[in-house]
Amino acid sequence: MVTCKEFILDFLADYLDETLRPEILVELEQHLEECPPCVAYLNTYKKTRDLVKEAAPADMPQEMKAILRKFLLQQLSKEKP
Amino acid sequence: MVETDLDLDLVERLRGGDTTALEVLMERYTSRVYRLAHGITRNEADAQEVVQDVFLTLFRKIHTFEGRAALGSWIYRVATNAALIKRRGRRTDREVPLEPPLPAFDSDGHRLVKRASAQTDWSQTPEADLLSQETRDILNKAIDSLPDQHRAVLVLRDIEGLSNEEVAQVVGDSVPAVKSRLHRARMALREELTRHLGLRLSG
Repeated sequence: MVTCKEFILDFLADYLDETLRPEILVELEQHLEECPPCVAYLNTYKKTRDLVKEAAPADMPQEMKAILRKFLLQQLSKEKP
Repeated sequence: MVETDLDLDLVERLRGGDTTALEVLMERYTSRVYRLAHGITRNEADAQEVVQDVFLTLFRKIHTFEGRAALGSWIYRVATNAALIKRRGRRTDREVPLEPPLPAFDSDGHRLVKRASAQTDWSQTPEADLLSQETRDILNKAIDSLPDQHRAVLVLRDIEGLSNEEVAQVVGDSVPAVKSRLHRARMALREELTRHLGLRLSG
């Protein structure tokens, strides 16, 4: 019997990583069928993860990359033996 | 992150002082290093400086790369450490341990509140609400507020897509420690979003 507390604290991350042992997975899915608040927690946890990924910044601007490359190569060619 | 023969060839060329090998690495890794550095430092200028420092270090310290881990893993490790040091230099406050608020449980571990409502399951909210500038700001602020080590594993796993084992290798910690930190970080962010979105949905 998986409790809400065990689900949230101990099993949730492994559940999403799909690394739970089958015996636990069965009990957990049974719990979710009977527990709307845990389903809500699971859904919002997953959504949070998705939103974090979307919140990641755009790439370094191309001009900056070019400037950096030029600077580094100049710097390092001075240091070469 | 897959080690290839191409990587080993690059390492050899770098050891020989071949700067074109560094150019290849920059081509391949600049975007990732920048995104990681920005995720940890939360600052564009700092992130750019970290990128610079990382590639300088790569070139100068290639003789310390022992080849036990993949080159990509080594680059991530150098980048993570550089970003954390840069961030620590900026921080004016001491970090407190992360204790995300949990739902109320009874003594048996069952939820005290048995219903779920739209306020609690905001995952069903139309995309427009979730991607509003207001929501982005709330989330970004919450990410800023995470302790640095928690944010580092969050960025490595949930943005860069490294596995738990790879993250553990990069930060030099055990897999259970990484998993615990990651879970707490996600729970803390979830709480912030729930507070914000729950209020909006009921108002």
